[in-house]
Amino acid sequence: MLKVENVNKSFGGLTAVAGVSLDLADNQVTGLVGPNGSGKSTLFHIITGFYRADSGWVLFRDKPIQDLPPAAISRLGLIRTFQQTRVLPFLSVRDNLLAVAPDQLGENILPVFFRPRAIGRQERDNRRRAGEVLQLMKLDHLADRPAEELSYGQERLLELGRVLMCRPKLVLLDEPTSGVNPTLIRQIVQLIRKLQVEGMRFFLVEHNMPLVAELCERVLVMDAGRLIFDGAPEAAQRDPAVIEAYLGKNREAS
Amino acid sequence: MYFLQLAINGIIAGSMYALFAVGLTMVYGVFRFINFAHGELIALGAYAALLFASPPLSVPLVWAIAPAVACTVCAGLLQHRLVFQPLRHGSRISLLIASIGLSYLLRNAIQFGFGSDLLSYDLGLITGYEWGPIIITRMQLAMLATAVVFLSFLYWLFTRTMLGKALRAVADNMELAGIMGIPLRRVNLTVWILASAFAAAGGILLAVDTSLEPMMGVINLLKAFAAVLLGGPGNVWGALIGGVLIGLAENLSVAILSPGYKDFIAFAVILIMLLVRPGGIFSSQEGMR
Amino acid sequence: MDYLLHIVISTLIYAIFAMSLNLELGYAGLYNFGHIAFFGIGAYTSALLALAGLPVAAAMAAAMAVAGVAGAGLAFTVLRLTGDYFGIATLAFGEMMRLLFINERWLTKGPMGIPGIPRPALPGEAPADLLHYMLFTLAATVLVFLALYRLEASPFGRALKVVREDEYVAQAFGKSLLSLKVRCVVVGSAIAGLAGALWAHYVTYISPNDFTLQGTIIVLLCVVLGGKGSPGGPLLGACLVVLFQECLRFLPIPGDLGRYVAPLQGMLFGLILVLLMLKRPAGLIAEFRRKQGA
Repeated sequence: MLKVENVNKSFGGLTAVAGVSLDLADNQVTGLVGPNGSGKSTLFHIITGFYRADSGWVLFRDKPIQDLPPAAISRLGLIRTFQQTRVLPFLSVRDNLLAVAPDQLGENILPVFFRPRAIGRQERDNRRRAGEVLQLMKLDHLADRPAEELSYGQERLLELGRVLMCRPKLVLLDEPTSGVNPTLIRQIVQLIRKLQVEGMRFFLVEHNMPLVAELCERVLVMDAGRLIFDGAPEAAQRDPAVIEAYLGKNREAS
Repeated sequence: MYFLQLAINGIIAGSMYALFAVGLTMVYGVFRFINFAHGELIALGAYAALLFASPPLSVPLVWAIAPAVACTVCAGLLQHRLVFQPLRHGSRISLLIASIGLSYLLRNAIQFGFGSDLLSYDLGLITGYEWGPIIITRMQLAMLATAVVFLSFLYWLFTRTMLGKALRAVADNMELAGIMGIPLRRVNLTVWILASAFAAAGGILLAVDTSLEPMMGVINLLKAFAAVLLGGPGNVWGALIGGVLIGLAENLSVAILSPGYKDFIAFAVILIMLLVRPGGIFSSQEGMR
Repeated sequence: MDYLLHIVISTLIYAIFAMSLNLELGYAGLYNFGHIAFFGIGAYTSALLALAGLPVAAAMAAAMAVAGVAGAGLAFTVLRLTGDYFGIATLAFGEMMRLLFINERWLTKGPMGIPGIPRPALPGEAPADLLHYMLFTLAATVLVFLALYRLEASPFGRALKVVREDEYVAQAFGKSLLSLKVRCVVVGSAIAGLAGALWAHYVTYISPNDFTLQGTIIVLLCVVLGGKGSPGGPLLGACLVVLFQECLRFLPIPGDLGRYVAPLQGMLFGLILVLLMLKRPAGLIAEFRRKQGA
C-alpha cells in the first residue's frame, strides 16, 4: 500500500527527517507517534506531496509519488487531514462535503455549458452520498448551517466526513482526536473501526497513547527525524529506545 | 566611457531607489504587507517641497526639504494609524485593496492640488564637475551624499541602539517580541517614520534630478518593489543593493533599448525575480512548487 | 435621449469589465491589479482588425481570443505567486502593457492613438447608430451575465472558492491549483477583452492613456462596492459608479474649476475604497448570508 524508502528532508541546517523507511503492507491501522518535533508531520507532508523530500522514494500502491503535487496524490486515493481543522467556514456543512467530492465533471469549463445534464446527475449522486456521510457522522441536523457554527469536535467529524466523500484507499490522519472530548473520541474510534471493515486503511499521527494501543495493530515511533521503533503497541511502551526518547526530552526540558 | 557615465548615473539613481526600497522592505518586514501607498509618500515628499519652495512661501529648496520630510512623516503615521492599524487583523485582501485605494486617494489629491502637468523645481542651471568625459552634477553628488548619510544612520540605528535591535526582533516575530516586552508601539512608529522620511528625501532629490508628476509614486513604487525582491523581502541591506542594481540596469539599458522602455526594466525584474528567486538573489528559496 | 444612451452603454461596458474581474478576484481570490491590460489588448486588437477590414463582430471575437491567450501567458508566468506578490506582479504587468502600447508605434500608433474605429454594420450595410450599438452591448452584457452566472454556480465556481479560501484543502482534495486558476484567468481576460473591444467601437478613438492603472482601480471599485463573490455585485457596482460619475457632471461647477472635478472624483473613489475595507469589506451585496447557509 504505502512504502517509504530512505527519505530525508532538511530545512537549512535542521534535519527534520533522516533516512526514514517504512512499509505499511496490508496493515489496517498504523500509528505514528513520537515526541514533539520528531518529524511526524513533516513525514506526512512529504508523503502527501506538500513537501518535496531531499532524497528517497515514496511509493503508493507500487507507484512512485514523491515527485507528484498534492492534488495528483490525492486523486490516486491517498487522502489526508491536517493538524489544525480546516473546514471551509462560510460554506454550509453539506457544501463542505460537496466541494471536495472527487472527479467532478462540473469543475471543467466546457462541460458546464455543453453537458449540464451529466453534471446535474453527478451533483445529485454526490448530494446523496453527502447525505449518507452526514448521517454517519451524526451531523445531518446541521447540514445547512454554515460550517463556522460547528464546535471544534464537530469540525473534526466534518473533516473525517470530507475524507470519506473521496472513497480513499489510504487515509492519513494528523492528530484526529487532539482537543476532542472523550465522547466524540469514542465516536471517531467507532467510525474508524467501521471503515476499516469496509476496506479503508489508516495511518495516523497521535499523541493519545491508550488510543493508539487500542486502535493500531502496529505502531511506528519517530524521534529527532529517525524511525526508532516499528512493531506492536504494547512492545513500544516497553521498548527502551522509545522510553528514552520521551523521557529524554523531559529530562532536557527540566 | 559612455558606459561609465551611464553606470555613474545608474548608481546615483539607484541610491535613491535604495532609499525607497529600504523603507518598503522595512514596512514589509515588520508588518508583513506591501504598502501600495508607499509610492505616494515619495510623491508627497517631492510635492511638499515644491509647495514650500513656491510662492507664497518661496523658501529656498534646501530649507524646504526638512518641512517637506516632516509633512510626509505625518502622512505616513496617519496612514498607519487610520488605515493599516485597524486593518491588521482583517483579511489580506482588505489590506491590499485599502492600500491601493489610499494610494489612489493620495495621487488624486496631489493632482487636485498641483494639476497633472510635469513640474519642476525652480533651480536655475545646475553646475557640475567634469572628469574628462564624465560629468557629475552637484545635484547628483548631493543625492549620493544624502543616501550615504541616511543609510549610515540606519546602520548605526540597527547595530548600535536598543531600538534597532528591537526593530530586528519585531521583524522576526512581532507577537513574540511583544510578549518579550519589546515596546511594539515605539518600534512600529519608528518604522513608519524611517520609511516615510527616506521616501520623502529620496523623492525630493529624484524630483530635482528629473521632474514631478502625479504618477511618480506608482512608478517608483514598482522600482522599489523590484529592488526589494532582488534583495529579499525584509532584507534591508539587500534592498539597498537591489536599488543600486535597478538603477544601474535601467541606465545601462538605455544603450540597448529605446529610452521609452527604461521603466520596463524594473517591471521585468519584478516578474523574473518572482518566478525564479522570490526570496531574493541572496537566498536559496526556489520558485514555488 | 442620446445622453441616456451614452450612460447606458458606459454602464454596460463597465459591468462586463467588472464581472470579469469579479470572477478572478471575487471567486478565485486572485488580486489581478493589471486587469486593465486585457481591456486594452481587447480594444487594440478589435480596433486594428476592424480597421484592416474584418467585420466588427469577428474583430471582437478575435479580440476576446487574443486577450484570453495573453491571460494564459500571464497566468502561467505568475500564478504560482500568492497574495501581495501576485498583486504587485499583475500591477507591473499592467504597466508593462501600457508601455508597450506607447512605444510600439508601428502597431498601436503610440501616444497618438487610433482614430476612426468603425461601428458594427447593421444588416443594411449602414454602421450602427447609438441606439443599435446600445442594444448590441446590452445583448453582450446579458450573455456574459448568464454565462458567468452559470459558471459561478457550477462545481467550477465552487472549486474556485475553495482555492480562494484554503489552498491546502483544495490541494489535499485533488483540486489542481494552477489549472483552476489559469482557466479562471483565461476566461476573465477574454471577457475583459470583450469589454475593451466594445468600448473601442463605442468611443471610436483609443490611445494608451485610456488604459492606465486608473482603469483597474475604477473597476476594482465596481467589484468591491457592489459585492465581490456574488454574481450581481459587479452589476450594482457598475451602476453606482457610473451614476456617481454622471451626478458629478451635473453639479454646477464654474468653468475654470472644471479641472478639479476629475481628481476630486478620484479622491472620492479612493476614499470609498478605503472606507469600504474599514467598514464593510463584503460590499453591498454580501457573498454569504450570515443567517442561513451559503
